[in-house]
Amino acid sequence: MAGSNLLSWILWMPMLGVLGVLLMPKDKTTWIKSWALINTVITFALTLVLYCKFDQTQAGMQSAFNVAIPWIAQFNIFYRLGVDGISMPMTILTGLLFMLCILSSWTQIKKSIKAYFALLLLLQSCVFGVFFALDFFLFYVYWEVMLIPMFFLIGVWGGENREYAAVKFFLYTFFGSILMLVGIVALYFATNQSVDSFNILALSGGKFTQLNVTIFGQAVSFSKLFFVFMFIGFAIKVPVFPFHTWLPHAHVQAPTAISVILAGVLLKMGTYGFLRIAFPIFPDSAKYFSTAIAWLGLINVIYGALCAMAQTDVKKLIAYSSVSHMGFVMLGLAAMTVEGVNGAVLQMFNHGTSTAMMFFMIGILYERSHHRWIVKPDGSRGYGGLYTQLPVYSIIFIIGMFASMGLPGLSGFISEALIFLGIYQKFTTITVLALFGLLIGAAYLLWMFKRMFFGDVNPEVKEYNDMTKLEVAYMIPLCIAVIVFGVWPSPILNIMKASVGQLVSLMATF
Amino acid sequence: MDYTITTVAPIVLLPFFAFVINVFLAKRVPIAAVALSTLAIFGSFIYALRIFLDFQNVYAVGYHIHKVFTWFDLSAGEHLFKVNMGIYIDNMTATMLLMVTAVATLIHVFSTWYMHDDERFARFFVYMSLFTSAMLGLVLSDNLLSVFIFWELMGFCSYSLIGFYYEKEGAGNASMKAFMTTRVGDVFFLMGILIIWIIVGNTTFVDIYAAIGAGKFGGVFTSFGIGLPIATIAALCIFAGTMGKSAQFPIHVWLPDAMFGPTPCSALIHAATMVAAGVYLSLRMYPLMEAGHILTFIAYIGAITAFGAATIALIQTDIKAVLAYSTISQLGYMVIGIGVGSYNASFMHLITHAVFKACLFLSAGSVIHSIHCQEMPQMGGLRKKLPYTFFAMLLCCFAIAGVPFFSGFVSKDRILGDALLMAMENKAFIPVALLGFGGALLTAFYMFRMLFLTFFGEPRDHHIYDHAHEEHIGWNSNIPLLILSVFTLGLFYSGSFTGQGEVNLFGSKYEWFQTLIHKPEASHLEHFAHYEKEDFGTTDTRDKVELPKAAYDANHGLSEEAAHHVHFVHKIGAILSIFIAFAGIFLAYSMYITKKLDPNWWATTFSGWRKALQNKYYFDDLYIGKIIQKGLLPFNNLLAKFDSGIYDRYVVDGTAVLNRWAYNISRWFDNNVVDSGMVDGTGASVRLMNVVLRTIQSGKVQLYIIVLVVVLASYVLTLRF
Repeated sequence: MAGSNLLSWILWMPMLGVLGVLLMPKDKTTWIKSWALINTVITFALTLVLYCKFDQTQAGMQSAFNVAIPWIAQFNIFYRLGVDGISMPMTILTGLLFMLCILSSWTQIKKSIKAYFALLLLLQSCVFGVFFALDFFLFYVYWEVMLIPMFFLIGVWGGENREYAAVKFFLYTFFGSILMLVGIVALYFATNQSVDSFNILALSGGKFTQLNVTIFGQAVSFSKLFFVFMFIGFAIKVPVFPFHTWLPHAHVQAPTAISVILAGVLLKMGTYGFLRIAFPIFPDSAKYFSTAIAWLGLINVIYGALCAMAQTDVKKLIAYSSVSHMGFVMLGLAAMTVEGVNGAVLQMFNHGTSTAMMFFMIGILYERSHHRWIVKPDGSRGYGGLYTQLPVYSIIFIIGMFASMGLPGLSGFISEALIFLGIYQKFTTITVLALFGLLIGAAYLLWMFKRMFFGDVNPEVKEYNDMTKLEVAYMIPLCIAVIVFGVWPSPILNIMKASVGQLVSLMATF
Repeated sequence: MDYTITTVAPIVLLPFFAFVINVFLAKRVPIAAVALSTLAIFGSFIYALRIFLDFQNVYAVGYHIHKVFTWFDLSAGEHLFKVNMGIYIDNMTATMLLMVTAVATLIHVFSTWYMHDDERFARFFVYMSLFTSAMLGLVLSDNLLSVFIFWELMGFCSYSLIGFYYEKEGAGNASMKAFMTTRVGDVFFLMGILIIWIIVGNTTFVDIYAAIGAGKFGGVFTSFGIGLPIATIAALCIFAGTMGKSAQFPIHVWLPDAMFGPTPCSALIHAATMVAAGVYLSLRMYPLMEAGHILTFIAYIGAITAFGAATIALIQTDIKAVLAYSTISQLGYMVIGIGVGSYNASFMHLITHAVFKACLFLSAGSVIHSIHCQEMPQMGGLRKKLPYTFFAMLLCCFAIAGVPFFSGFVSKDRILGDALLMAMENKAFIPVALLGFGGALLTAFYMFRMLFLTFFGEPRDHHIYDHAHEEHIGWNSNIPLLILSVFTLGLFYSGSFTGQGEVNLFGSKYEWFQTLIHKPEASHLEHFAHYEKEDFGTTDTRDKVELPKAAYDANHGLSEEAAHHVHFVHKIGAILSIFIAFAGIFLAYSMYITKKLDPNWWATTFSGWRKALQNKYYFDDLYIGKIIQKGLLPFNNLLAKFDSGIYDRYVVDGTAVLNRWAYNISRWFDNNVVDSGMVDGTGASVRLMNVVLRTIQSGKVQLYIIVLVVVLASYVLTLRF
């Protein structure tokens, strides 16, 4: 396998999987599942190969893997792929989580198995596309196409209120995409439709600082206007307050594996968009708005955590905790210091593993209880005494919960500490306030844990069985990731630091 | 002795590996897991003892080992950022290591008896191993970041062990309360670390000292538009960490609840080591506390805690609750010690307290385990049933009450003497000294009240008394008690280990503790900049360097006259505290043995006061009842309702209503204007599209998007480049 085609292999391998699934007979469910599993295992292995071949000293795109083939030549649209230190951790995360999601869906998905696995693999390909694409048009295509499998995965296999959640998710994200599309078109005209009009790398570097546009007779800075457009587009995906309300619905209604993908990977596409597109293309505006971004991040942290504390639906609680944790990523980005941005990228990875653990664990519990109430609407306990009834489950849950809380020794801590170190250098007041997010973050998780796991065993809970071997099997890799990267973060930090350093240097010149 | 990775690292790694192995072993071979944990901590003890003896052998004040390695490195291009971890061993660390490993070993041994009939026998040891490795890691740390990491890990172990009996409803609340309350302090602690990190460039202790010496902490900390001296803010933040972990007023509320855990864990975590780690941190950061001018504040916090907790302990009937409040109170004394500049004595009290309080908890544990009851009013007369326990507890009570020749006297007296000295120099310290001496009186009283109620008099509950399982008490319960109780003698701390022991109440020239452990003097901080760090893996060359032997300086570097004054005040303090100790014991004696004083009379006369004490000064009521249940939770519910009920429902989904209007308007426009007024065919195609769109979905929002696209596209078209 030639090194230069590795990205294409990773990108199209899941598509091969889709093709295979589609060719299989509908009733051979084991074939379909096994095929999907083998496919994702190969994809994950390929991402690991990519990791091994990754040159840590190269700051920009890895020259060994760049791909640039004309696609729609008249508009200078290219099939342009590349990977650098910022997309590399996300690539591994995507490969890992989809593989585990196939395992988790093995027994949990019972209807239309063929369509489900085909859509899941299609989704994986699109996610890789977003992380690899260096052509703005290609990026947009993957960004949009991804909505289709997501829409059906939530809308068909979801919970009781799935149609509403799916439509809401679709429309909300679509609204953001359109703003981004406007930005893409504007950039296309601003660069005089040259050969690099859609080349993300060529657009980067603050080329539009002097440009003004006249809109409704007012002269407006081109850079600021379209930074805001792009910002909203990506902020909806993150989600940044006040664009966060689709998330609780989508998370709660989505089937377990899709919640995992949504929280673990898709949210990171928003912050990845900032790092890859919004910040490098409009560095001056990013700097100009950095205080506002930091305040929005702070609101995310505090507001998400406080809302999480009030939830009685455990899945909704974790959904709001994602809002809170993504706020930390926003804070790190807004800091634009080497510690802050490194911390943010690391937090993207670490949140991906820890929140995936939480959603998997809740899915496993839902399989047994068929409800998600911490406190039922009638005021009685939803669970209670799980610690006694499900010892193995409890231990893995504790690992996930404390990783999510940022306990030192588990992965969340290092990224949060780096983010705080970064943000403190720029915004003291925000740092002081954001630290209380850590406090509330511990409070809602421990309170949830106390209500679900402590106390005498609820009669309902007595009927639950502990985790099956399969369930343990797909939780183990995440447990390992959470612990290993908590103790030894260098494997991830080393690949990202050169690229992040380059970005920070770029931001520092404005 | 050379300090390499093989002679230092096992101290932390042995218990840690025991933890890792026991995670898998505990379920299958519980007894092996227990043995492994105990042996591992014993191994750590041997290594710590070697280090301690080496430091005693060198016997030099400046002797230290500092080894570092890079944890991770974010340097890229012109950005330099590296996080180092390392170990720092000086006389203080060596002493602390010995104390922690010794106490932990004895508690492990005791636990093999105390927990053996528990169904989660082995799991207990899993947590204990993790805890001891975290505590030892903290002690060995050379920087604040790794202190914080181990600090939080200990918090996790504490959480798990308090919630060890998870079937009980109260355990969940107690463990959550402990974790959350200490986390309040931890959040500030983290803030302090950030401030220091940015100023110093790293968080290594010696570099912080050097930076303080170089005056780098002279800046201003601006937040919320208010500027404050940065040294003060940093010092307060670090001290907040101490307040959380060492249960200082006003966030002391978690420690009494922490008694939900098994008694050996209370002995190790909530008496001897973890809570003392808070004080250890403040001692390590003493130059910062001094530079931040917060010593008076620290002294007041300590004094309020020491006295306040002692008053609550007066009326407790649960034997563990008495000990819990006495722990808070004694930690208050250590904090007073920091506040009055009594660095050495504060640290000595940390060590002596760890020993006698661990012993007290273990004694209480053997009582509880023998009679299956924690309420002192139901005990009485147990000294015949449990003679060894009684003997150990008696010595410990002497120590904590401050009876001469016992360890508690040596250390507490020095703190009080320094407090008295400060009070004479500075009026602001008078309340500190008064509360300190007052607390000492109460301490002697409540400890002997506990002793008398438990072991003396007639059995009050014959059922419990008759069923006391004295025959079940084994060697592994009594040996740790007896060893610990021997070390409540003062000569171990005020004498010498090197053979020339000369016991003297008021200081002798062979006093190793005071000779070796010195506070980093503010005037000498800059020489820490010359402390060299070695990489892990390099051979130690230090053995070849001859360090001058430390000599006992009776005058502590003061002039003859000043020293005379100090000694005079200390002597007054000593006489006063001896008197106070005996007065307290006498009060307890006349109340509970000779019954000359009637406790009920006191209870009825001071009933209002008693009510406040029974409610622990209403702190729980304020924090949980008022702030959390009346403030935070309703606010959260309101916010969540706003989020999903108002914002999401009306503002976000409200756009769908707008869209429906737009849809209706455009349909009307489409039908009436375009379709009938204009070319039929065009209208039909638009209508067809409408129909198509309508059938895909519920027909609410699609057109809205199209409208949106048109609007946005028109924006773009109006742009002129």
